Amino acid sequence: MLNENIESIVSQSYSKIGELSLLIARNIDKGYGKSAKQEELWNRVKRIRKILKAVLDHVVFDDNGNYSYSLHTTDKTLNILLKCLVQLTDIQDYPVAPLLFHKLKPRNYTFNAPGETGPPGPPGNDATVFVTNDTGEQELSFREEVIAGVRTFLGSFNPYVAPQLSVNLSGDKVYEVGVVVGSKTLSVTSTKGKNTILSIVLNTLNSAFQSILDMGAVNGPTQPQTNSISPTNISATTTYQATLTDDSGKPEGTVVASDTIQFFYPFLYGATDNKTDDPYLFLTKLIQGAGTKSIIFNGLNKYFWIGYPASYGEASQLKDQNGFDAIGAFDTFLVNVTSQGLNNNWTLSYRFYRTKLKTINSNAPHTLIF
Amino acid sequence: MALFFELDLKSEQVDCSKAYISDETVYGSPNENRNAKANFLVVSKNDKYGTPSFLLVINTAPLTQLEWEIPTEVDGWYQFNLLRIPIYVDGSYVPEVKNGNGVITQYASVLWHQPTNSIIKAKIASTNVEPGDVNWQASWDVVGDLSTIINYGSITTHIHHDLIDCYLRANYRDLLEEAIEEFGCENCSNSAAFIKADRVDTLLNGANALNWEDKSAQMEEVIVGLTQFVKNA
Repeated sequence: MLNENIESIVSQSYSKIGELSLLIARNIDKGYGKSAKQEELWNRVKRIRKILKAVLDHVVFDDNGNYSYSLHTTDKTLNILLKCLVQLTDIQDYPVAPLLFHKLKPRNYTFNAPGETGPPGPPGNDATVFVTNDTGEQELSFREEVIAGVRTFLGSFNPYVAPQLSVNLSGDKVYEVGVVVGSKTLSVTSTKGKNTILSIVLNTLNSAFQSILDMGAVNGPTQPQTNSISPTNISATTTYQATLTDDSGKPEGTVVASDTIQFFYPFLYGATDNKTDDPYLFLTKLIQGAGTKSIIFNGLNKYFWIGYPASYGEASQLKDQNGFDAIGAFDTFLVNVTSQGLNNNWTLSYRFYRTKLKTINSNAPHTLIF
Repeated sequence: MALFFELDLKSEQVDCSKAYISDETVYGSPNENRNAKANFLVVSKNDKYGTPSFLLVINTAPLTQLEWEIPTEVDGWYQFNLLRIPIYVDGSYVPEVKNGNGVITQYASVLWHQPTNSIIKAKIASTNVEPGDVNWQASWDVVGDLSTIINYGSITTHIHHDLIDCYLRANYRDLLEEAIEEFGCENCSNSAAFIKADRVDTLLNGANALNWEDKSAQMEEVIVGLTQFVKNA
């Protein structure tokens, strides 16, 4: 029965009017009274409109796209009219062009407990569908399927997945002040979540990074994706921080990750035969930042030292291998230390603790506490 | 859950020189409130290739204005762009970044600065630099032409296409009256004016069908052809 496809036929007839109107308009200078072909077009549109009007006189559509017959209308009369429309509009098959989703009058739907289908809600102005679970509100997407005139909207639950990001510098990440690191590899690894990644921005060297950043691959099927650049001649503590933003607008759609290369003046410790020995040359370097340090003293009849940048202040204790504070056995003094053998040698005021007398330590752990 | 934007074209004036469009979007929970962002309307009359000619639209109160008056010199395809722009607050903002292929990989922060009622676009990365601060122009450009930020990635743009056919509908009514005056109610369908009116109505119907199907460029073609028909036939 044609009336099973009434919406499709009406919709296509309306489209046909638009299509024929465009043909007429494009040839309007050959128009009214000047061309038999143009006249034929005018008349065809006129007939379609006339029959379409008759169909719509026999059928009443409600706000939800449902229809009912007007008074005195039967399947037979309606089908005769629809047959005329099908012929006039050259519709070959139906339903062929279902109504566009956004043209339908939307309804609100409510759902029962998870896993169950709830009853349709009252007619509304908004086709929004809410799905709420224990992680909050999530989106439900729809696909339209029309089979034998029956329009079905298939919903799929596709929850949000946040993107991931990591930043990694290759090799060592701690150096002595004065060293110039020739080159490092900075790798930014991203994993696309549900949404498209809009940007990945570096806080430094961003221009170089953007020039190699392949957003197509970042949003492509192969995940994760790593984009790398090579910072060069690094000589100061630097944090490389990347910020990734997707198009979700959600707080978790912005992810920050970082890695840091650090430069410290060394702690100097060890043993010498003479008080006048250059500590930078004779002692061992411990390249770390300020704070408690554990070291091992080892030697026979030696002066034992530990020193650090004077700006760190005085130590409060220097515990020996037995856990006793032995700081009273050490002289403390300030002296300028000059580095040697570095790319950029430096001179800095150091505070040292050195045993007052030559003494013996046999792999004795000591702890310097501030 | 994204907002479902809805712009409605209101009735045209008798003289057809202007129309009104209103924002009928339902804002608020679970979505953001309307005044969470500044709202600006940019309107163009497009030709059949989609080339816009931008019209003068007065945006008086970006947080509260719900209706705009649109000048409508001719019938045809009108494009309404509702721009929702974040409001400036102290914070860190970023400039636009493009990759080697000229593709934007980071959109500049675009904000509405309420005290000066201006739209600003970040030139450089900055933190807590507010228009009016010393040397703030180093951080921000003022966006003078709103058409340049339609669909810009850091703002929300809702685009609505619609048909304005006020002049042609008036012409249709005039033709009907002419036919009735000349031939009377019973026989007016025999008049040239009636036949012409019927054809105007037919093509208007076609233009509306194309508008309904979002075929705006074809709709504009029908309106241009119909306007020519009205003048020449």
